[in-house]
Amino acid sequence: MNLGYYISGVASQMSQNKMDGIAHNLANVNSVGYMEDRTSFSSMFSGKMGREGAPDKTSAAFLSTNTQYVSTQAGTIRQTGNDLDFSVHGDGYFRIQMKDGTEALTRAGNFKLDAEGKLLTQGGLAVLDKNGSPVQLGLGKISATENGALYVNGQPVAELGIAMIQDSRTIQKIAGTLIRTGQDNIRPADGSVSVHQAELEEANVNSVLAMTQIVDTMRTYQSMMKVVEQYNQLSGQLSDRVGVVQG
Amino acid sequence: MMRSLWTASTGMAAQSLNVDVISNNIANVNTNGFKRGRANFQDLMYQQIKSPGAEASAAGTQLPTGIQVGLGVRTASVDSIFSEGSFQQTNNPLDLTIQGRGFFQIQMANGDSAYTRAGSFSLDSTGQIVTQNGDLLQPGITIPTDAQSIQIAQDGTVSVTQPAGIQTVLGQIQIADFLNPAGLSKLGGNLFQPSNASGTAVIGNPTENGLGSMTQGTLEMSNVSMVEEMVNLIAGQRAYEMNSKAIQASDEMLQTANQIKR
Repeated sequence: MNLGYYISGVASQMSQNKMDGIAHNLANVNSVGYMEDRTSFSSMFSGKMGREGAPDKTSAAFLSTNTQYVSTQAGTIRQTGNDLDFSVHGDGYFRIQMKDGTEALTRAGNFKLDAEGKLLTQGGLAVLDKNGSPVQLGLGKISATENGALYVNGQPVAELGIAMIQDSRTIQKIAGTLIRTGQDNIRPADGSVSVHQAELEEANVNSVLAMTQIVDTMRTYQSMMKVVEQYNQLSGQLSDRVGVVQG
Repeated sequence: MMRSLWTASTGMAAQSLNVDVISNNIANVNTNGFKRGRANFQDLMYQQIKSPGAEASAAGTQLPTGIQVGLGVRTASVDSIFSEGSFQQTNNPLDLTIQGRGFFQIQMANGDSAYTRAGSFSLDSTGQIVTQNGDLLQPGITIPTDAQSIQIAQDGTVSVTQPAGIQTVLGQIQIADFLNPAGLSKLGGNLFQPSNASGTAVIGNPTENGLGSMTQGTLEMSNVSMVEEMVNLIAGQRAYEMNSKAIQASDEMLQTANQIKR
């Protein structure tokens, strides 16, 4: 069989993967604090085409998903007027405690309270303070300062834990607008980060760009499929014409 | 089949719920004491294709980044935003507002307690203070038939002026506060009911212990901001459309694949 079949077949498969990523970004265009996925491709040399041990002179390259990274660009800030909404300005993240006790980070500051006054994410996970213990608030009006200190009826109660990530390439996303990265990659926030109450950071998905990417990906896919179609015609001609006695 | 079809369909479902919530807010723009709802979304789980830090070669090098494919969006919650609505002057003696924290306590017809911020009260035939649905305000206060005027002070004290200028104090309207008002469940009819998430009602006198003060002759309007809802509606509708386009594009890709073999 012609190798080109598979090269273009794999390439179209990659377009499909890219489409999956774009659809995911678009599905989360209204998820507070969502960070966009980006996909990049690289070519990958195929395995040897000849038999094992035989000199290999062919150069066929397959397309492969090289990396996928998370865009850490800030999303648009929206005023909400809700006391339990927070946004981080700068390169900081809220610290969240997962159900298994490990820590995760998020930019989604649309928090809520439980019946005991514990500050939770919308997914029901505890928000951590500076010292790594869950933030506990009391009955009353909640206010905050820009360094993340929380007050109930004017009395200081806790300070939000804000972390910064050293190398944003190793971010791993988990469900619930959360991200995870190695503990050695996290450090406490410095002065460049501030917390703002009654504001939310929207998803950083650029929907115009995403629509353009949809068109681009779809057309790439179609042209790859065209190549497969041409190969198909070639093989058809090969089996139809070759050996046919003319006249 | 392509993941993007289902991913985009979760997006469409989420945006359709978003528009539902926004429509309810817009419908209640003139409902006294209404607290607007907000749908909160989160991303769904990720399919791990290559995890970061996995071995990349036999020499032991590691992948710096992984490949994760997200599978869409889910609705995390629809919560009520308890910001204060603006106040409207009505001069009706039984129109009350709570400025600050707190809820009026209401006893429903079935005997259960409910809570409300809508303070447009009336009197029933026996002189009891009731809501527009006829549910009793708690603690119950009965206005005598010969009362010429009703005064309600900032701390909730109800007094009436009777013939010959006699002032009589009838009682005090106490209000309830919750640790987590957003955890209250909406009953309809402007009423809220405590849930496991809201905590139990903490009853107190207005102006004490961080509770709000009571004002007579005003009403708290809905806290829905029309402009904000309209903008949210546009954003929701466009997001819905974009997700439908993603489905369309995935469909076209599948169609292309189908047409190779004729």
